[in-house]
Amino acid sequence: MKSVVVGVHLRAEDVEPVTKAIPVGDLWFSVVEVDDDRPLADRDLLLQVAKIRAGLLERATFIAVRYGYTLSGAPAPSPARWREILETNRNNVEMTLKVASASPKPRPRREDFTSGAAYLRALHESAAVVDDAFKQAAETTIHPIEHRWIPRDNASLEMASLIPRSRVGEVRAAAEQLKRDFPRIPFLLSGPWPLEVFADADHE
Amino acid sequence: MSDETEELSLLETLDHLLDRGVVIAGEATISIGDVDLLYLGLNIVLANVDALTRNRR
Repeated sequence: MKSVVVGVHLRAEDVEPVTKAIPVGDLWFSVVEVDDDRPLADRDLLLQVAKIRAGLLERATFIAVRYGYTLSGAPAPSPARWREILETNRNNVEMTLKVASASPKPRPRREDFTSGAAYLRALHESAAVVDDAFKQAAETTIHPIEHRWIPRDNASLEMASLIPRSRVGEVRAAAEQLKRDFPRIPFLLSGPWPLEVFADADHE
Repeated sequence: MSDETEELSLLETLDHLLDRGVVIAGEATISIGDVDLLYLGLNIVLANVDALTRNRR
């Protein structure tokens, strides 16, 4: 059997009985046990893990582990910062505002560039651009504890927001207001999500 | 919930599952399954933006 890791939690009771908890240092991994020969790309497994993730978030906030990490032996020690992140954000969740660019730029083709640096620069310049007035209005209306604008691809940009659990309804209402104020800008608010962006050192 | 909203919600959930969260370095399982996942992840992102734009038209 292998264990597909779903997230990192402060307490075992944050995980059980939704799924199995495995100690990792002074924290806990939530895991889904599957047969060794079952591929991670199995559609039913993906949906099962997605459902478990949602069930876990209803119990308590946790750090999401990107799908694909499996354990077959003893878990690796947990970084000290995980405990601090979990304790600080016990009552917070993430919400995501995905905004489609009005005029997506074409993605550069690697074969058109002789230098890797020039290609990376062009890739960066092709990232989606969203109207500044909309960005400012989103930040003001959603009013998160913390937020980050993350380019996803050449067609969309995301505002990841850290908000108190108690404000989820308020943030949904804020998105409705944004729809009324900016009817021509396509966007989607989703969440609540576990700690994904604000626990990921790559986004700091 | 309409079929389109439900589809969008599922795509968004899978997009978050596959493309968000901490990556535990050096421990990721590398297999043929993972290649499928990268491909699937890319399709989900593209489909998601497309559905979002379509929804607004």
